[in-house]
Amino acid sequence: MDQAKTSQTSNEKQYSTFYIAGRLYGIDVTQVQEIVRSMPITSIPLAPNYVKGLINLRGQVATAIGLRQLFGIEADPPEDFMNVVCKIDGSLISLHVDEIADVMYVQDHNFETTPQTVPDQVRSFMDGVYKVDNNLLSILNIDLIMDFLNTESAKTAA
Amino acid sequence: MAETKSEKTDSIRVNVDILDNLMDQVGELVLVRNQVAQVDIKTITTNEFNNLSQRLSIVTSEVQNEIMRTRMQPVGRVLSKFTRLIRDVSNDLGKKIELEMHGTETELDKSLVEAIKDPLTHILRNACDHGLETPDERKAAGKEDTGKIVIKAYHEGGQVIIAIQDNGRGLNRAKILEKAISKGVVTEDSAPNMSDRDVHMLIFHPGFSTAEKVSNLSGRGVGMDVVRSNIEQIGGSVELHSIFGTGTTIKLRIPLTLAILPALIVKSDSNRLAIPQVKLVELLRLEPKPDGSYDQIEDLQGQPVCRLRGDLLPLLELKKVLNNKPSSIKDLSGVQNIAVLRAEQSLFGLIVEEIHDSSDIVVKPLVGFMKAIKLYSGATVMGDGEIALILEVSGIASEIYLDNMKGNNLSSATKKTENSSQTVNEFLTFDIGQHNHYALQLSQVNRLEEFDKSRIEQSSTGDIIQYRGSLMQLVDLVKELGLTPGSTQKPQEDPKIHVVVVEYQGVVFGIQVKLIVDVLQTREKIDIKLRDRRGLMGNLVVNGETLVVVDIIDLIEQSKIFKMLINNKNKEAS
Repeated sequence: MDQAKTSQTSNEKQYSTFYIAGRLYGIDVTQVQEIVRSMPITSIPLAPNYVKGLINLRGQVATAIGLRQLFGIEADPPEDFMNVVCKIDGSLISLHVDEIADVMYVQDHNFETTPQTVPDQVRSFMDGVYKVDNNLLSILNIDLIMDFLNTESAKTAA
Repeated sequence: MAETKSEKTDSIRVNVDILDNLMDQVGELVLVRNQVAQVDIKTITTNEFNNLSQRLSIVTSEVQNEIMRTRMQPVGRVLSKFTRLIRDVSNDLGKKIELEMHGTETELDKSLVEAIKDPLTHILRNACDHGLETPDERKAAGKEDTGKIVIKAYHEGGQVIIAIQDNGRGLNRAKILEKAISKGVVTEDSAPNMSDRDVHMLIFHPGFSTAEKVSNLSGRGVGMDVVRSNIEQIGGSVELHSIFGTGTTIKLRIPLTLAILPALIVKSDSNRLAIPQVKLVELLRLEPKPDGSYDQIEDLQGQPVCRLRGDLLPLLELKKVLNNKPSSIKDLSGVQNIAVLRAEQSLFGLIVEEIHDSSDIVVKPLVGFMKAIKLYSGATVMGDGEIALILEVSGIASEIYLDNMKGNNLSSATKKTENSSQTVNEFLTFDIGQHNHYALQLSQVNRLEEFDKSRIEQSSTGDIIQYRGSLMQLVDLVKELGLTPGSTQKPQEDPKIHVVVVEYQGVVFGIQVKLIVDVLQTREKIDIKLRDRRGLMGNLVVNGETLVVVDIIDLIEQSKIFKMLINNKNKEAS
C-alpha cells in the first residue's frame, strides 16, 4: 500500500541493481551506503549460515549477510563476492552478491506486485517487480530482511 | 526523522583549547594524507616511508588523545549533587553527617560519569544509614558526634579510583554471618573458618541486607549486589575494607573509558578472539608427562577438570565451545594453555590453542541480531586490519557450561569448590633465608615486585627504593623480627631483589625477601602457642611443612620508624 502511495508523488525511482545466480535484483539506492569489492572476512563461529562474518570497513565493523544462503541458492557460487553496504538503524550490513550492475531508473507504471508463484524464501523479502528492457528487476526490501534476521535470532535465543 | 533524533541526543561542553588543538592536528593529518597520496611507489626509499608512517602515527595518536579529552568530564559533576543528598538524608535519619570530597577534578569518560551515579548514590545512602551511628551511639563509642564521609577520586594505574570512606561502626562480622546462615548462603560449620574479607564480601550477595528494619533508604534487599553488577558492567570492580568499630571504605575501580578495553588475544582454529582482561584471573601452561597424560588434568565423568591449588577447576576447550561440541579429556594432547576466567559465580578454565599478547582494543558493538549468540560481547579491529570477536565470559559459562552440567556431578563439584574457597585463608609464602618459610596473609599483600639491586638507596631509615614516583621504605624482616641471619644466606648472585609490597594507612612498605615461593590456601588455623616475639601471628602447618606467619601490621605499628613515616604521611595529607 505504501508503495502505491509514494509512486503517485514521484513516478521515477532509482535502484542499485546486482546479480545473484544470473537473476537481477535491486535495492532502493537511498538505502545503499557504498559498494566495495570482496574483502577479508572474519567468520563468526556458531552463527547461522547466512551470516558470513564480519568485515572491516575503514575501521567500522560491518556484518556480512550472504544473500545466496538467505535465498537458499547453493548452486555454483562465484569465486568473488561484491559487498553492497547498507546502513540500517546505525549498524552496517553488507549484502554479499555475485556481480554489481548499474543504478537503474524505473517508471512506476512498470511496477507489479510479486506473483504468488515466486518461492516463499525469496518472495518474503521482495516488495515487487519492475519490468525493464529485456529483464525483470526484483525489488528487495532491506527492512524485511532485517525483520527476518531479528525474528530468527529471537527464536534461537528463546 | 533525522531531525527529531538529533534533538534527543545529548550535548557536551568542550574547552575551546581542545577544539583548537584538534583542528590543528586534523590539518596536520590532511597534510600527511596529501604526502602519502603523492608518493611514487617506485622511487620511495624505506627511510622516506618510515618518516611518513611515523608522522602519521604521531598525528593519529594526538588526534585520538584530543578526541578522548573532549569526552572527559570531571567526576565533580556527579559528586557535587551528593552534598544535597547527604543533607537530606542526615535530616531524615537524625544523624549529624559531614561530607568531604577530594579530587573532584579527576576526569572520566562522559558515559562512565553517568554510569557511576546510581551505584555511588546507593553506597552513600548505605554509609549514612548502616555505616554511621546516631550522635548518641557515637558519643557512647567515644567518637565525635558528627559522622564523616570522605569521597576521594584519583588516578591509579590507568584506572580511576573512587573511594568512599566513613568513620562509622564498620561491618559486623557476627551479624553478617548470622544473616548468611539464616539465608542458607553459608553453612554453620564453615562460618567460623571464614576470613574477614570473605565475610565482608557476603554483603554483595543478592538479597542481602543486615538492616533490622526497612527504611525508605535501605534494607530492602536490593543493594550491594546491584552496585557491584553495575560497576562490573562498565568494566570496573568494587573492593571493600572494613574494621569493626572504626569504619568502612569502599573502593570503586573504574576504567578511564568504555571504548578502550585491555584484553588478552587468544587463538582457536583460525579465529583470533579477545578476552577482556578484567575477567582473566591467571594463565596456566600444562605440559604432558611422557605417556601423554597430565599431572593436573583429571577425568571427571568424561569431563576434564584441573587441580589448581587444591580446588577443582572445570575445563572447557574453546575450540569445542565454538563448534558447539562437548569437551572431552581424550582429545587433549601436547602442551595446554589454559586461561582461568571468572564468570559471575565461579571460576573455570578455558583451553585455548595459542595465547598471543595482551593489547588495548577498541570495542565495536555487534549488530542487534547477532546478540542472540551469547558468546560474543562485541568485535574489534586488530592492528593488522583484521577483525577479532570479543568473548563474553559469562556467556560461555551460562550458555554452554552451566546449562549442560545442570544436575551433573560437576556442578555440585564446582559449588563445593566455591564454598570451600570461601572458608579458607590465603597465604603468600616466601623465603627470607631462615630455616622455615615465612608467610603473609594474602589480603595484606598489595603487589609483588622485582627491582634491580642497583636501585636500592640508603637513607637514615634504612634501605629505600623509588617506587611509582615516590619513595618506598624497604623492610628487612630478619632484622625487624630480631632473627639471626641464616647460615643459608650465601652472597647473592641474583641481581634482582624480590619485594612484597604492603600498604598500611596509605603508606607502602616493601618487604625484602629472598624468594617468593607460592600462594596457598588452607583451612588450617594459625597456632599461636609458639609465638615467641611480636610481629608474628603464629605458626601454620600445611602439608607437613611449618610456616611462620608474619603479622605485618603489628610489626609496622611497633616500629618507631614506621610509625613516624605513617604520621608524616598523615600530616602531609591533612
